Amino acid sequence: MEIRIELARLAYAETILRCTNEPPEMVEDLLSLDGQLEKARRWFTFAEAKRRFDPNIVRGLLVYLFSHYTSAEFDPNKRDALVREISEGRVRMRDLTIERLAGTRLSWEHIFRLVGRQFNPTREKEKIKELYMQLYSPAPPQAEVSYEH
Amino acid sequence: MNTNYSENEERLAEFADLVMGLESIEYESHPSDEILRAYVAQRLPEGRIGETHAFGLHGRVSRWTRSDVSMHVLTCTICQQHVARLRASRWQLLSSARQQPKEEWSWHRRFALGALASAAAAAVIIALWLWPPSPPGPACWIEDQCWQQVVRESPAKGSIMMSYYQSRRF
Repeated sequence: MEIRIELARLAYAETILRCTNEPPEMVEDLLSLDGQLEKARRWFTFAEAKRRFDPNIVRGLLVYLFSHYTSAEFDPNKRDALVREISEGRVRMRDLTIERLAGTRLSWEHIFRLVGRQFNPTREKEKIKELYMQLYSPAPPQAEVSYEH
Repeated sequence: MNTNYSENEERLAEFADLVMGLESIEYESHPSDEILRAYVAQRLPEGRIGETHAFGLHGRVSRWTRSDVSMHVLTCTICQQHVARLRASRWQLLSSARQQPKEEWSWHRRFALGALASAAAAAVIIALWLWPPSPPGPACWIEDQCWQQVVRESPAKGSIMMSYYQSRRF
């Protein structure tokens, strides 16, 4: 059951990459069925970031993430084929799937090529982390009011 | 490709746990060869996450979407090999199609086509040149008096002015 929900979350992340994602409120219950609400909300933050910031840059971060961490094994043949398609401009981000990216270990240069421009990944990453805090961090406790005179 | 950004600077390690740790799954059923070919050719439809059946929540898959197949292949070693083979053969097919030179038209074929186009253009010009002009009609210019105004008395409305077209007779 847990691995299925994990896959459902990944499938949702994939739709964020292809810009076919549903609103978080429609899928939040399903994607947190295994109790991993925080993970679901981190993906929702990417979806919201795409709405608030440059969507292609957010998608570029996802491409890097999927490319580097989805598979533990590096697949040089798969990488070469994908890099060739990127270099020739025959693949767009909406064509990609997590499976297609897994194990390819794309460099930032390839991501920039897919996105269509360069950006600072660290700065964009920080923006997403800040957005998560803004969206889901608990409200700070209010200062106690003393009625003593 | 030139870039000012060094690729070793940022690894997005904070988000790695979101996608790491996937294990292979032994599926009872697999997408058919036709479905996998459609997936490789990017012809599968998108689906809604809330409706999906592919992750084994509701048994067998009735309709494979793109994400369904992607997630299945990601966690199924059998289908990974199959998709890799399909991609390789598709790549070869596309490469050979690109390398194949287009059929060159022979010089006499080009000459015949050019002559035909020239003859057609000449025929149109000659037809326009020889076309008999339409006979002069009874043009009615504003300075020619080809209409007549008559004031008539109407018992209901009083005096009204009526205009009549006066055809010219030659």
